[in-house]
Amino acid sequence: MSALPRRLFQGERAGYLFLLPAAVFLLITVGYPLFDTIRMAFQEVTLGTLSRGERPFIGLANFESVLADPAFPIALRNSLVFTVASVFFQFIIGLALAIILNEAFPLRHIFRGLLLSGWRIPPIVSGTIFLWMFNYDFGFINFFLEKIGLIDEPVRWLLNQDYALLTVILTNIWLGIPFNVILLASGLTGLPEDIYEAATVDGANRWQKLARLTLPLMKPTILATLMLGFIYTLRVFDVIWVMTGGGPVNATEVLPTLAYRESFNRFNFGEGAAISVIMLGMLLVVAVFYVRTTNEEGM
Amino acid sequence: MFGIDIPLPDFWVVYFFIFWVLVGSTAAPVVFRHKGHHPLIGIVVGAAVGALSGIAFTLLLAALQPLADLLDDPLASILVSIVVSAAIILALLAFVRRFVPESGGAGPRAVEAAGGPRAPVTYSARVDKVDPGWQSVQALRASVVIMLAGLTLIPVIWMAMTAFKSYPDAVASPPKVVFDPTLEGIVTLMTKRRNLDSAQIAEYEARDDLNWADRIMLKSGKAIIGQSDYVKRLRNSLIIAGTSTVLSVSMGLLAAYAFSRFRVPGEGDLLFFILSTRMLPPVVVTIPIFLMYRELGLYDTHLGLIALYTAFNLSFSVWLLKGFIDEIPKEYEEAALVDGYTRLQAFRRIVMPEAVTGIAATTVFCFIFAWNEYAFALMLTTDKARTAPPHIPSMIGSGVVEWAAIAAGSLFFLIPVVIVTFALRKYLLRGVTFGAIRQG
Repeated sequence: MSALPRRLFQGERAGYLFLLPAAVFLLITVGYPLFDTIRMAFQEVTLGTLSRGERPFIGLANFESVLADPAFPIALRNSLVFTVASVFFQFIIGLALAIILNEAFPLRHIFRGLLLSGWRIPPIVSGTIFLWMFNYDFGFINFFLEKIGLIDEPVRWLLNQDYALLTVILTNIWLGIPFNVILLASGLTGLPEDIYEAATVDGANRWQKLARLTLPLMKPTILATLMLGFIYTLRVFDVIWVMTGGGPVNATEVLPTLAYRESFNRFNFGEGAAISVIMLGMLLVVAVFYVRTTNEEGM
Repeated sequence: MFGIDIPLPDFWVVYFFIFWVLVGSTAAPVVFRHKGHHPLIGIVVGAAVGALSGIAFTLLLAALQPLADLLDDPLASILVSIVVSAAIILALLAFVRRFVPESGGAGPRAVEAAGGPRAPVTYSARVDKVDPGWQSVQALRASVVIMLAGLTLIPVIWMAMTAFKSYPDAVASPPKVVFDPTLEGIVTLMTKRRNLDSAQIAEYEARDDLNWADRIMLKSGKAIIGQSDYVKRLRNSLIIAGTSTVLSVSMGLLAAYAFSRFRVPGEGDLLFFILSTRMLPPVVVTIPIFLMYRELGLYDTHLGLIALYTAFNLSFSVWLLKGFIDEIPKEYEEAALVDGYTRLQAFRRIVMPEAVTGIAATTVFCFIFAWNEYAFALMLTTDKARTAPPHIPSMIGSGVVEWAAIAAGSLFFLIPVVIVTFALRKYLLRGVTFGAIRQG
């Protein structure tokens, strides 16, 4: 090795050299596009302006036309309903499963492994399976519900504007349960056992232990799970796109699908970028809220 | 093939049959082990007890059918049957517990009874956990959990079954549980076909140069005329996922080493920036990337997707690998540096071999991400570099929907993912939380 690299790879400065490839790469592929999205939200970018090779600055006009679009309030409402409902039920079911899994019983490890392996099922695959299970004509779910006597006639799950959002939410809840179990179960294993033994000695029952010990002790984990759940759910695109494409009409339109449609179907990239910026703002609010809460707790 | 053809039987019968067998075969061995027998006998006896209860359930349900018709409420008869068969299995288990003789062999009780020393408790240190009653209750709870979990697995099982159904079976209503398995779906997925008229079918059947796939398609009157696009898409998926994984793991390894071993100014902020890239909604960065790629001629190229997947995996691999490198004692390298190794040599000869588990886990997770990714592939490719995920829903698009082929495509796609995740479940957590949750 020649003298120069040898000197570069010694001492504290070497740290930068190790970092360099990753940093440069991320700046080009993520940093720049992020910056460009924000810039584009304030520019007129359509196929027309692109072919002329210019991107005129138009101030807030993109945001104004996005807000004036009747589909936007629907997408915003759907996004919030979809995210909150999914995160809430995923969390409740995930917590219950995590608590059960945390107790010793035979076959626990195999079962836990199986559940975890569900986490990485490609969303595209789950979307397709459910699309088919909810099928009106020969779907498994209609058949099953009729069989056990809960419905009298087949439901048009994905074709009916009233049920479509519910259907994609159900699918997404199913998808997100393993993720919640993984996070919450790991939080549970980290709890100190002696506190529980002390509580048992003091005569606390199962529910008291859950309400007074487990939940308070788990607060950091719970907050993190909810925040990550919110961030990962707000951006869900593939499940909805595969199952309904945002339809019927606008019944399952969410912000990501609206941004996609605006950019890649109507080629109005400026407005698509404006929707993206609004989404970024929402994510930022959640992140700031999360950091604030954890800091106040002194964690 | 076998000519079997049974529609979905009564759900409750199947479910409770399996449930009682499971309960029996987990609860009974506890009793048998406690009395000094081999637990295997217990499993057999328990399964028989469970099967008896299952039969009782089935008979009851059938006997109560007139009642259900009368009341126009199927749930009542189901509930009654559940309660009665539960009572039956509990009674049978209690009977087994009461009347199975103590083993004459060297079980713990036998030695004790003969005035020998109390046998040491080896399978659990906690006295209350040795009690057979407690253990039976645990076994019962396990059965309940497993059966509930079984419900959540139905979608995946259903898909796996559909992959081996013929087209009429796949869309049959009521759905079929037992059916003639066929590879038609898989062949449909992999090939392009054309329809034959009856004369051509006869002509084809006379030929002897047909392989097994040709014969399967011939049964439904079709001839294979070439490979489908799916084969090409799978190849693209492999190339793109493979290359981007190698790139992101190697760059991530260097960066993780830097974060772990050097004092990097603003380390926290940098790490947070890297983390946040992973959380961005894909559509946010795709718009500028789409425009950029059009300018650079990277649209619909392997290189374009590789670069993007590498970037998104980089955050993941840095965070994951940093955790693994943090666990390697710093003293190892310091000793090597004193011995005259350069930083790079120390990294290569000391750190890399120690971190090999972490590198393997990271590699696999990065590969899965790239393998699963849908949104970028949909927006940034059309044909030449298109990967498999956007191909599956595109088959739903128009005309006759080949559900069996779609299920087969999904299954192929899913199997490697599930196997790998199951094998590496120990390391799963580090990747998802990005340190937001510390592992106990």
